[in-house]
Amino acid sequence: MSDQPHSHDPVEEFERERVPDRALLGLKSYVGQFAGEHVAGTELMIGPLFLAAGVSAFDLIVGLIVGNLLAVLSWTLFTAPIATRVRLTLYFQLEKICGRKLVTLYNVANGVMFTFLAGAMITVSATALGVWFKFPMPGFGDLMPNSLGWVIAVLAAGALFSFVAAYGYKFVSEFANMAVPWMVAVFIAFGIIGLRQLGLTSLGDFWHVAQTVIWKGGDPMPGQVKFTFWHVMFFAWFCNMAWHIGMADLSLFRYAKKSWYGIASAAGMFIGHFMAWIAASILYALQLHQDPTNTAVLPGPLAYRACGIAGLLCVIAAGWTTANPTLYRAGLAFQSLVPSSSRFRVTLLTGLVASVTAVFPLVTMKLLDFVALWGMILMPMGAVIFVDFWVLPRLGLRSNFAEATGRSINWAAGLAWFLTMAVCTALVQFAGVQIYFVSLPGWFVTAILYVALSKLWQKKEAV
Amino acid sequence: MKRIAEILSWIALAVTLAPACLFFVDKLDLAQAQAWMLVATVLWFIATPFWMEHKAS
Repeated sequence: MSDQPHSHDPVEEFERERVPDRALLGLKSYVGQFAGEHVAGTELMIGPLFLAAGVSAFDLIVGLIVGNLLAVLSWTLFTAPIATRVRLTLYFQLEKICGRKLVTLYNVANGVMFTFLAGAMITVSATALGVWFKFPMPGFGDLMPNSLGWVIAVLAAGALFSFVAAYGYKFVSEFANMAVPWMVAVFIAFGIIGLRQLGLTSLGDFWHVAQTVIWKGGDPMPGQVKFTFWHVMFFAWFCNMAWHIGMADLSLFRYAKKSWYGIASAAGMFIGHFMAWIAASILYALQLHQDPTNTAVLPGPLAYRACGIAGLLCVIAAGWTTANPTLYRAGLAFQSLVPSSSRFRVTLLTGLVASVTAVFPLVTMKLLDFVALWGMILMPMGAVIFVDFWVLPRLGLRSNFAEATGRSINWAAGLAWFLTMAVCTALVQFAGVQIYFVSLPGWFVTAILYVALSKLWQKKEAV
Repeated sequence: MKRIAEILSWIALAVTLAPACLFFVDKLDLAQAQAWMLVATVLWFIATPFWMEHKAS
């Protein structure tokens, strides 16, 4: 995933101005960036968790194809068209619409989610250390650490990642660029070796093996929600929701020469969120095939069984190279609260908090829910930007209301955000809507609320 | 020098993937495939820094 989070190396140029034509980038830059950023450590967790959710072969393969296609369309039709018209960062665009105070709140929410995600990536890397040092690691569904070795390994990895993110961000970023083609090759190897060990000898038999050995469907594992086609489709579509429909990638696509470059996201979706998830899922199926009692989702041992030391190095690299920018971004988000604070110290502190969360495998074991929650929390601001840009002018209302009126907070946007989260939470808690689906109605709730509240507020302002 | 390093990188990438394919068609056993992948990994990380563009973003 980026997961998720991902794209999105911090670009510090043109933070408060329109990107000039001389700085625009071609399609190739975007293909490379997306292809690289979606082969993350967390992909190694997501694939197995699909299997634990009792998904069937058809539901997984077709759900991923449709969901990833919808994600690509979201980048292409939602994010990139606005990005290439305004050519501003998300934060500056939000500040114009919502005011500085609301952007600060958005930053805090984003920073907290980034911190937990970085924690999950540290957890993934620490599972590789467990293979080397042979300490007991958390089992499936464990929410608490189960050995001193695990705690030490996670904290050591977390401290190292944090220090590097704070001090040597650029070095790891360069290493990440270099590692990506190799990581993609190792992920493909995971899948091929896993399939052979599961008994596949001819590609023609793939579908039969997929249905009867790998993704057999049936009941999910205890504590897991049963995944159907719709779960897979919505998960694949919304796992990067904060970036496409949530508009975080305005910052990325403001450099694109053409708005259709959003289609470059297909490289990330179909390498990272299709091939890599499937490969990781195959490795977990192999583990269950060899020992049905071993349900632990531990990327280190999974990768080691298939590809040996190269597999372990891939787990460490995938976790490290994605934890690094994630910690950096979390640090930036928190630093915006106190701009005079040292970025080094804030990033280091953020990393240490992430390391402590990584000791408890709660987020990692509940990664599917966490990713859906992230999308739900940040999506409303994307809906606000969309409506502010396309709808308000057509209704005779003023766009960029905070900038136009000099307000530090636009309550129409703020209330639309808070009320949407309240409605979505109520739908999940009391109406039985699962968190994977709630962001779709949530988007419309925000859009309607923002239009209605803008009418109210702007009328009041005119009076 | 850069050109040679680039060629070595692409060979390393091919050798990262090839053992998995050879294992699939029973031409290598798993231990051999894993050993070749490790060799290819080392080669990739030695050769690639010589030519790959350094960009932080």
